[in-house]
Amino acid sequence: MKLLYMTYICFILFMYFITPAALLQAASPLTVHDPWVLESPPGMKVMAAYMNLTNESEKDRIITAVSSPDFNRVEMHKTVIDNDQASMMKQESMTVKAGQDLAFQPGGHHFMLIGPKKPVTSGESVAIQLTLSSGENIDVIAPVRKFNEMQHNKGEHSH
Amino acid sequence: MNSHKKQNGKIAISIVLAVIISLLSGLWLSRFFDGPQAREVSIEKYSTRLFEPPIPLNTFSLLDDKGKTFNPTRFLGYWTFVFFGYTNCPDVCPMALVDLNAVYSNMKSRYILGNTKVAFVSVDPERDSLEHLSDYVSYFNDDFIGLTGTKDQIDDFAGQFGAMYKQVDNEKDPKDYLVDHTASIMLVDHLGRLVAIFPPPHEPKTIVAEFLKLRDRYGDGYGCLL
Repeated sequence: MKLLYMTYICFILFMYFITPAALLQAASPLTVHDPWVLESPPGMKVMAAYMNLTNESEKDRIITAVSSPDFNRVEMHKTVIDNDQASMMKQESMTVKAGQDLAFQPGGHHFMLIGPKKPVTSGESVAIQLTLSSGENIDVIAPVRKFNEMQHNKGEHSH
Repeated sequence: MNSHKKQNGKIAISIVLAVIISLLSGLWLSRFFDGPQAREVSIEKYSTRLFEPPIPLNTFSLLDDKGKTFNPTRFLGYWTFVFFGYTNCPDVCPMALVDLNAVYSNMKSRYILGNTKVAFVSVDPERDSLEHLSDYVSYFNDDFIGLTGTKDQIDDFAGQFGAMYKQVDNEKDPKDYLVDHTASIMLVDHLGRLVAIFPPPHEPKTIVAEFLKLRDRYGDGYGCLL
């Protein structure tokens, strides 16, 4: 009886400490870090949104659609620089592998925001919704920054 | 009585042990739920292409964003950074202009700007009117010049830099095409010659350092204005 009792207590205590960690994992399929939108010159029809995505789960997460109430449409693009020739390749889907990060950064992947419904300037925010193949939606609020307000100014990196 | 106390003692120790084990297990497991680790981003070795001797640019004719003709004589007496792009480009073009602005501002703040100019050439004259181009370019820096022309004129000019561009159609909307284009920053000296090409990725501080060396080597061009 005593043994059973002690085992039971151990189990309860064990679950007490383990469960919060397990819940954290189940909370969101993808975590979004530092989302932002680059302010475009006035009158421009396209803008770029950037962010870092982390998949802390054990399944690959596939983004199959992106939208924003502030723009007519949003597309995912990959900037490819091949022999100093730049081209943008539209991606129908993008996968964030299990346990890995996927960065949408200048010169790499970006979300192309097309057709602003109203002028979008620094200090405001853009709502972006990522839809996964599982049907789940992830809502992102991305602040708009002017180029001289970018946090990761390339000029600051020294190699 | 004694055995009762001993029993309680054993239970107490078990509980304490259970707590310790659970705490340690929890701590160990939490390692797997840390936020993303800081990543080392590896950037390929930066390499400028130098033309020795520099290549003189042949006859060409473009329009600047004020509507004035831009021909080879407009290069004389200045050092000019040239970039080919288009205004409906959300990523590469703005970033190149941001980098060029960083280069320009760095030198201006050090009082070593001199007769340096920056020109953005639109390879998309269909959508980039002169006014549109002027607004776009001056957003990044008031001193920057926008250039464009007819397709033939642009081909003529771009070809001399080895700069290529190609329209990529969009089935959904013919007006929303993309343009693939050279992403290098070109450098023209005060004699109107192509001296260097800075391929991406662009590091403003490196570009400034290399530019200053080239300007020392080929002269700043002030003498030519006389």
